[in-house]
Amino acid sequence: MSRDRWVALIGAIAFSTVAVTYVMGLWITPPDVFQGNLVRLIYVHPAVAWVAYLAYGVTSLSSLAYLWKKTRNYRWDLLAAASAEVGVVFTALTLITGSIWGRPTWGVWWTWDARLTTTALLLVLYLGYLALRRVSEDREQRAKRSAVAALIAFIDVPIVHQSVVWWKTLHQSATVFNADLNPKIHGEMAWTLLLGFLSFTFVYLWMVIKRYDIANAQFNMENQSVERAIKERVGTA
Amino acid sequence: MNGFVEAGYAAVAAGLGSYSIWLTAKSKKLRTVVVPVKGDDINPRKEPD
Amino acid sequence: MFKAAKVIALKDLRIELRSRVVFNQILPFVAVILILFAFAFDKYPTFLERVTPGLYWITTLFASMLALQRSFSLEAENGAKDALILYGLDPAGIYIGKLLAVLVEMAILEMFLALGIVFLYSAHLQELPDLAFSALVGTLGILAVGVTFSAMTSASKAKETVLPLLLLPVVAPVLLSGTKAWENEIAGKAGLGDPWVGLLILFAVAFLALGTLTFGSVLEE
Repeated sequence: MSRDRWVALIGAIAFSTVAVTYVMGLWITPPDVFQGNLVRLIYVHPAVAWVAYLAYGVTSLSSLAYLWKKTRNYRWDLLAAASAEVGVVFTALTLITGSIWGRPTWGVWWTWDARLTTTALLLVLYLGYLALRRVSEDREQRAKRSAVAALIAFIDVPIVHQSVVWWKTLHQSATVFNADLNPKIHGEMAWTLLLGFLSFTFVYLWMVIKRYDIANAQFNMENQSVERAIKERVGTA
Repeated sequence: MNGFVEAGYAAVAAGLGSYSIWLTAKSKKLRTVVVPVKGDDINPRKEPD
Repeated sequence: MFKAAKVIALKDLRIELRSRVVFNQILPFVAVILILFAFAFDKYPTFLERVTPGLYWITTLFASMLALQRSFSLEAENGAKDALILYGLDPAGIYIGKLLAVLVEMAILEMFLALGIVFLYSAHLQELPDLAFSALVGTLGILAVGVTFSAMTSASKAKETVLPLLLLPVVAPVLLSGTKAWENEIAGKAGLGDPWVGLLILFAVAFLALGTLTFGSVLEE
């Protein structure tokens, strides 16, 4: 099977599993005793959040691979960028779904909960990373600098999280997720939850491959235009 | 249901959907522009600039 | 490495002594911010006193950003940065030298800032050694990341907008920990054993190490 076919297959799997997750989540699974229908958001929100973390993990690893001289290859840089961009999309969706869940549960759209705050900072951190990628002209320089920025973000996340956790525990006890994290999950609810994680991971895979291919094609296009310019001046000899 | 659930599911569908559409459109556009170079290019390709 | 650091730091400080940009421009900027805060919270005089630690750290953060930009605009002129690399100076040395020079400038600025909040906001800074220590460590943390980021962005056209976008989210924990440490120290509740001070130290150490290791990759053209 050719590479294009594989990518199309992953896309098809992603699309159909997400569709099944939606049907299961919205109609098949029963409402929860405490949360009623609101519990249906559990099939989407944590899975989307998981993908955001996965994406930033991939960005950090491939940035590290680029900075390490033995594995230095521009492909690592392209992968890091692709994964960060997809990660930003998923982080934004995590915040949106979290906020939608929060409104009926806590009565407010936003609360300075440790997780929410960390996620919000994560979004701006990687928006900064993507902005940095846009300002550098030279390709190799951009790759090195954004790899360093990705590492800074990677080291920063645990410190941010720790500080925000302390910040909150000094003010008020975190009561937010207690009710949500121990509902009695079994049977089709568990399967739907698992399917949700799987399906969004497939979506991530497809998106990263697509985004990577786009970046790679642009890279080749720049190379071709340079080659062509050289040929025009030197001749084909 | 209660509006919030639908809104959450719709937000995810809209976000991922629009990003996928953008990805597909962009890669199609690039595919028509970029001609993959196979090995040494002895005969200069004729292509509109 | 330390020889290069000393050369760079002395060079930057000598330029500052002659041009007085930090003293003549950033110091008045700090004063303006102090006055603007007073306007913004005009209705609640006691509130101003209570939120002094937060205001102190926000002002420090903004002032560091200006000082960092100034520090690297020095190198942007006439390709001075390329010359630094061509001299064969150790990148880690350049990093530490830049950092030290801005740290000295910021320490002086923050002394004036502390005087300002004592006079204008009637803050009571009794635990001065503790406060000074956490301020110094926190500033070191901000600058440790800041030097790396300003070196990355100084040559780009969008440097004024990209640097804050990169730096502010990363140093958010410093703002939080610094404010909390100051609140506790002013209240006389905790000394240097405060976990918030520990977090400030951890932040500074982590980013000093990363900055020293990666500055070569940041500078290379």
